[in-house]
Amino acid sequence: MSLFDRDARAFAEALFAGPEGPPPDERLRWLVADLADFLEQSGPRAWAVITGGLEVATWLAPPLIGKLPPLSRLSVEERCRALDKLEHSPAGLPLLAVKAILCILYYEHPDSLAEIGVTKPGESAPGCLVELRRPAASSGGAA
Amino acid sequence: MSGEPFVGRARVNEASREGRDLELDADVVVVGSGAGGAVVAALLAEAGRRVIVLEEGPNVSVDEIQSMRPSQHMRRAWRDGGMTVAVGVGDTPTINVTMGRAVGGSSILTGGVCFRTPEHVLSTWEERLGLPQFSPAKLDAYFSEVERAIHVEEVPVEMRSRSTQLFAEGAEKLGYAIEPLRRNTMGCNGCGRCNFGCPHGAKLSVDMTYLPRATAAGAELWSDCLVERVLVEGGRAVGVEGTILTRPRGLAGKLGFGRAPKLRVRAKQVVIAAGSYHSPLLLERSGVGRASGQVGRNMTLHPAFRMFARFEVRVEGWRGALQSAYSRALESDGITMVGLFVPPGVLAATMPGFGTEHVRRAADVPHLAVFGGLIHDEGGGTVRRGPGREPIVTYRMAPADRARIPQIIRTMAEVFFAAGAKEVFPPILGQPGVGPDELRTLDLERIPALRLECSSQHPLGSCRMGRRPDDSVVDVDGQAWDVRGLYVADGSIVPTSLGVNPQLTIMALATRIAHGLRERPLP
Repeated sequence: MSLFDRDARAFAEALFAGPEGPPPDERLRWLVADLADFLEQSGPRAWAVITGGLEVATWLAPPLIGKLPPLSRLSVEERCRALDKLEHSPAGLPLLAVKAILCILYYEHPDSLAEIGVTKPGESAPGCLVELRRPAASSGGAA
Repeated sequence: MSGEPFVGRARVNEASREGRDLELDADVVVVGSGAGGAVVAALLAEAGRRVIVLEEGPNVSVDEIQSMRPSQHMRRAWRDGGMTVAVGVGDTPTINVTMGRAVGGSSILTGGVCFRTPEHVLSTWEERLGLPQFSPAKLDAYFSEVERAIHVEEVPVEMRSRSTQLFAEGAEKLGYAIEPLRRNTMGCNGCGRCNFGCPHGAKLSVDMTYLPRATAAGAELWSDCLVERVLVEGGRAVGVEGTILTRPRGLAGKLGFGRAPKLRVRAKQVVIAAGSYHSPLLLERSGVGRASGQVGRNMTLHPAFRMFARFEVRVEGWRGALQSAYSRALESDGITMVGLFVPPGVLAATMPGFGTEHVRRAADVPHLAVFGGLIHDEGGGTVRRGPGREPIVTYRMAPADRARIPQIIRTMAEVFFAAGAKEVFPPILGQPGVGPDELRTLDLERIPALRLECSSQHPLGSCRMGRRPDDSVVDVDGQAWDVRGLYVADGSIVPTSLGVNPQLTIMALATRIAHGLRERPLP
């Protein structure tokens, strides 16, 4: 796993952790691969914004709760507290970019949409997500 | 042109597939295939001119869009995957500016909203800027021509989403009039996906209308062509040159590792329509307009703020037209409120918190309504050359515009509360939802700019037209003051902000410029 994958996954595990813990491994692997594909296709500025934001989160968030970085060393609960602190700080803006793009990708997954009640069991995705199909676990860009 | 609009598909030559240098020749070369460039290309091709259109981005067909998730459209057709910004200077938020980078330009990303330039704006152009050529009466024929070509129609009330209905209910209780929007659509079923390319071909963006007309009339349209310089000889524009963007569009390719094929087009007239970020960059690189000191300055953005509101009932705002209604109740304060909706993932992204808090709030997404407000701004944007291919853009908000932000937030929140919202989520980073009492105690005037979420879809004015070469980049016909045969025909020539979506204004001005070009003999 690359450092980028490690940091993106650590961030995503915290962001999407529910009462039962982080989302399933398959969905996280798909998410991290899809993020990499997004940045590959979107060009260097998008890559710089997201990588920069991820670096800020990885290295600046843990000290805010008195922990040593990187973020991935912390428990999921600690990561949530650290990122929450960072979100309320002046460094919150780069965090928003990472959070935004992860959410955009994550909530395109049919299981994620169902979990937040956008779709009901057996119901197809709404029009704004027309033709959404279950993503392949091994391919970031496939839909 | 009369009757039904010409709707079809343009023939697109993908330069990246050629794998070789390109040397082309034309009467007119048009740089950019968006709302401005497409109009000029079609009208000149139909007048018998040999036209070549060069588009930096790829061709994304309706067939492809049908199998794309929204984020796949973003990564393929949006500039920087939607992460372009104007960096806030001073007490100004950093603004996320969305633009298209594909055949059809930003017209493929719009919600289809069409406004004629407001009369009070045209009065300002006449009285303050000395531009009587742009009175409502003189522009009427151009607007009418465009409206027929792209089938501008009113969005029926029954197509409104529940999100917009709720805002309208609240607005009515507070005495704010809500009016239907007009959009360039035909056969829209209200799937709410306009920003990510219409999957039904029902939004008549220029890739469905003007570009097919252009290629049907003989124009050549090339995608994947990055124009880097205007060729000037003896004070006259004689063509353009640049690079063919080969696939994949990865970092290595962007940074220029390896030799990319080159592009050179000789032409008798050059029309730049690369938008408010890239037209000034191209002029600057070509040494055009430097004497004026105005290239890349005076950019307006219509800084926009969204308001989310949570209702007890399910809203499911994704069902219905993405944009269907607006209010000009605050027009005299320089504010326009416009309905919109965004995909669930974007809604969830801007909810505060991480982990269980985020998951709990994300479960509220089906209960959220959205409305937006934009500022009819005074300007303050500057486009400069950056280290790579993209410009560095800064924006310093005028104090009067900055003072409008609390008013926008407060008004939209009050409207949603009047409609029965339980809490609202102002566009403030990390701000939890607030109820009516908390809203009153929220010191909106003192929220630091760094904590404000702000976006823009309407960059304008960075190569503004005017009466004199010392305060503008192009004359009233769109021609550069210092280079004959070089024209600019996009949002960058619009001399002030409009307070409304600019698509129709850009197209009407481009129509006017094209009519002027048709009348002039080629050199």
